[in-house]
Amino acid sequence: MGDEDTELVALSDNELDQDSRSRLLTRLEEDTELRKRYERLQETGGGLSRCPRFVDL
Amino acid sequence: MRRGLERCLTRLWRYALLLSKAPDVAEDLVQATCVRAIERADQYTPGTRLDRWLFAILKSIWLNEQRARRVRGRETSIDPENALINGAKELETNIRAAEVLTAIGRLPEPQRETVLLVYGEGYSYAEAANLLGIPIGTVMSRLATARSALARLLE
Repeated sequence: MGDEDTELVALSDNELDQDSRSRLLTRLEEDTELRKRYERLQETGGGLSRCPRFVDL
Repeated sequence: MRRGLERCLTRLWRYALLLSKAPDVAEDLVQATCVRAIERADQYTPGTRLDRWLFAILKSIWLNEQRARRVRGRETSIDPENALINGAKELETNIRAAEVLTAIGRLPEPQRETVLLVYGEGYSYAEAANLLGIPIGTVMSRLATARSALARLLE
């Protein structure tokens, strides 16, 4: 697992500082492959948030 | 203390379930946590987060149990039916949730508990790091690895 994916996950969790966030968002606009990876990771995050035990209690 | 404990019971049980992957073990863990918290109530600092203190106690008991279990060699597995108590009423959502929980159950324990604390309990990365006694970078890498594994498992 590279630093890049770690940053992508942190971005999707809104846990990146402003500078890192801006830098990564710029890269996501330019890099199609990176954007696909981000979207794939976001889908997994969506699965977690849809899990009832994770949202209902 | 007792009222605070009661409010945290469900969350403690959920944490215990995802650590132990077995409802009966989770119940024992929660019970042991409550007993220890009451016994050591004088060690709790009023005004601080009771949930974090209780989670730390539960984790400590679990680690001790793990050490003992290595000798006994017991294996367990998550039962999604139990994990979904109080869950969503929509069948489709429940099926998906069971899949997600099953996949989470396949993650190694360090990833599993980090996923629970951040996505299940809503702790920030910094809070989870503090609770687990690990650097925030480790939380980040555990979550990234877990999310990648979950994406594969849920395909």
